[in-house]
Amino acid sequence: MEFSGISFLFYFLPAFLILYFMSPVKHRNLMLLIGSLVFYAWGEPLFFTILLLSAIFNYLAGKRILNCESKKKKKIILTVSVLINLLVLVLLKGLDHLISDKAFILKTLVPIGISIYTLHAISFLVEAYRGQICKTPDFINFAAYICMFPSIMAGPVIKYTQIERQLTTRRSSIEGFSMGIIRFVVGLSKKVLLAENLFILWNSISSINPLELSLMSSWLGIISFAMGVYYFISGYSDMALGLLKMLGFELPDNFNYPILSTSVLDFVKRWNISLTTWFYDYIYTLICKENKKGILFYIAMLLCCISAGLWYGTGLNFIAFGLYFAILIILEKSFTIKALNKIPKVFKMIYSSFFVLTGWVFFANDSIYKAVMYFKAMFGFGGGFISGTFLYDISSNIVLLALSVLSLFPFWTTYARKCMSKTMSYVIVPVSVALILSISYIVA
Amino acid sequence: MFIAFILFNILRPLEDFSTLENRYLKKISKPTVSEVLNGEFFGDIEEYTNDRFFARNFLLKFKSKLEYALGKKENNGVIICNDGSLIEKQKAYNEELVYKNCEDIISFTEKGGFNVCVSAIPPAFEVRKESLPKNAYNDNAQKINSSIEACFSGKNIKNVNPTKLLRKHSEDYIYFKTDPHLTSNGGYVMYHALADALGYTTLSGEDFKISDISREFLGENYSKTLKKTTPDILVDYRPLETPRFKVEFPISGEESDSMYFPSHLIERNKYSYFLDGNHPLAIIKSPNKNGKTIAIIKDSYANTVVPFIANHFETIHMIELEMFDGNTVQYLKVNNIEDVLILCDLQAFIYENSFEILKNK
Repeated sequence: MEFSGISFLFYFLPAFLILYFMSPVKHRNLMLLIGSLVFYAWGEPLFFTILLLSAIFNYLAGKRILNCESKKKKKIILTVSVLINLLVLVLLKGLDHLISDKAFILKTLVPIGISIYTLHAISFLVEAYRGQICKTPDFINFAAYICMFPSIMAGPVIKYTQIERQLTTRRSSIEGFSMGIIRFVVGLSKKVLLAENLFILWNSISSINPLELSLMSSWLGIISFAMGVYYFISGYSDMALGLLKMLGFELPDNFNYPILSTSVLDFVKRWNISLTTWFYDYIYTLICKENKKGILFYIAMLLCCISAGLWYGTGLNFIAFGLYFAILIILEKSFTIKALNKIPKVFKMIYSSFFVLTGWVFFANDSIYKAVMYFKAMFGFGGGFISGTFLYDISSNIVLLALSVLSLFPFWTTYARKCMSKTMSYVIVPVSVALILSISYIVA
Repeated sequence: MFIAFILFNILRPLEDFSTLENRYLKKISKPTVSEVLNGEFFGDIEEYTNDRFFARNFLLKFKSKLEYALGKKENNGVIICNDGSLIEKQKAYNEELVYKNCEDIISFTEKGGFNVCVSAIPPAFEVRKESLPKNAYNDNAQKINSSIEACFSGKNIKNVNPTKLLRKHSEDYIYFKTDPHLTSNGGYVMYHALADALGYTTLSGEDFKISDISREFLGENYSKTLKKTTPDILVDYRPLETPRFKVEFPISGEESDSMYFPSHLIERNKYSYFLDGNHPLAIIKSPNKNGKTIAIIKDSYANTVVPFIANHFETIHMIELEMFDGNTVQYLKVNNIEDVLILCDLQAFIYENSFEILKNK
């Protein structure tokens, strides 16, 4: 089931919300768990058991860690349980990548959401080990956290300690519910109206032989792709945060206007913040305890970035994607940052955008060879500087591109804040229009 | 009110066919165990809820109108031209696929020992390129044709590229404006293009009675764009000396005494007027007892061409590229057919396994 599907929007979500709010507050986590399991089983009936087993296994492991007196035993249980989680994730993703002819009943070996709920589980185990968890959760609350449908599709990655207290003390309000709806619709619009149309433009441009692709078309293509990915992931994040807000949960934003980044490191800190924080808290700090340079820093950075690349997808191109960012961040920390601090902000933003866009080429192309060929086009070794196709694509998509670029900046948030201080109708009307447009696009 | 809306959506009577989109809407049938376990059944339900959404037609039209108002020049791969024509955008050239498909034809020809003529019908995008919006044109169709020519060069295969001849007549309403297929006028031009290769002398325009059959045809490209435009005209070319053709459909067991099927004129998909649309196998028998037999391995693009060619053959076996699931080579051998015309859309050469049925399995 998709958040942007008719069956979710008009059948599952209304039914779930009615049942959720009709149930007593003390049973709402159970309702959230049941709803999440129904949601998951709808899309992944075969892998539903893996999700349940993960919840049970990690609950038992976490409980053991919390109740264990011996630090050595805690460490052993933590290490074994984290390794098992990672093994399952890596095995399934790796096998799916290697085996093209799956068993007749399976289209993929990778259960939806495994990258998210595995990170949730590891977060719980590590925080239990570090003594950051106040008390042993009951199974229903824990399973609701692992399985929660708002975040299981594409994040945000929620650390257990972020949500621990809210699992038992959250309260819903009409205002919170309304804000949740608005956020959800904003996310839906980003995904349906912007991301999907940007990907159509990218697909059209990327289908051209790179040797015949003009420089301008190639840059238009990669910009469309980068914006498409941003609106896709941030759209899903907004939908997830909106749904969680409706249920009474408060969680931080997952994106902080990456277009405003002034370095590649700054970009990484603004992009999919929950994921970056997870890698920092559980991988980087494990290897490189303090923020220092040297061999441990390089290893930590390489491991984090390559793991993050592989989190997005399997394949050499994703490894290259991670490696590219690792190298740039290492260079920035070691050399470039001093020079960057001396130049005006606008040039820092141009520098950051240039290198980030170049990095997206690895993500966008499914092989290193294709990425290299695309780079050739981007730097003038393809089909000339400008082509008729570029002019046609620009003129046909001018409104989409203008809206997409404008929405990269805090323009809409600033507008919404100003309006909400006057009257909500200035926000409700455009949000309603966005909802109707989104439904039109979904149905079409 | 929202709950009332959902209940209405669930309980209202449902149509099976969308006249706006010219397709059957999704139905839910009893799933198999594997369909449930691999999630396919739930995917079908998604499609079903989408297809049956209340006010779907209104939302489809609304979306289309909004996009055009915002300056979009194409929708679902169809370009809206300045003269109101709806022309399918030419897809990307894929050299590997063109060569693979040509190899299948070459292998079929050489192993079967057939006399093969190939003619790929170019798209309106190539033939009517002057109608396209500024900068919309790409030369991928030319590249596909060049590759086909290179592949068949030196092989015992006649390759007829009708592009030049069609371009000469590009202003003669040879393509529908709301559909990617050739009109009967276009079919007549193709008939001329194939004359030398197939060894017949063409009938002139004066040998036909040309009549308008319908002025209300809105084709596939209209369904994809929902762009309001003047409907197309279906035209019929009937030889003045009207022979009675018999058409047999061996698989369904049906027969007809005409290559034209007026029952489709009251339907949305009027293009099926020609040869009753697509059948896996159909045999046309003409009273012209010249002993000439040919197999035409085709797709729907050939449907306005075949009625002209039929005037010169005693028997035509039509085998549909995407539907015939028998052994084509065996079928041709059993029926003692040596002459084969492969007549299809040029795009077939850039799709995977377009000529799968030519393999002797």
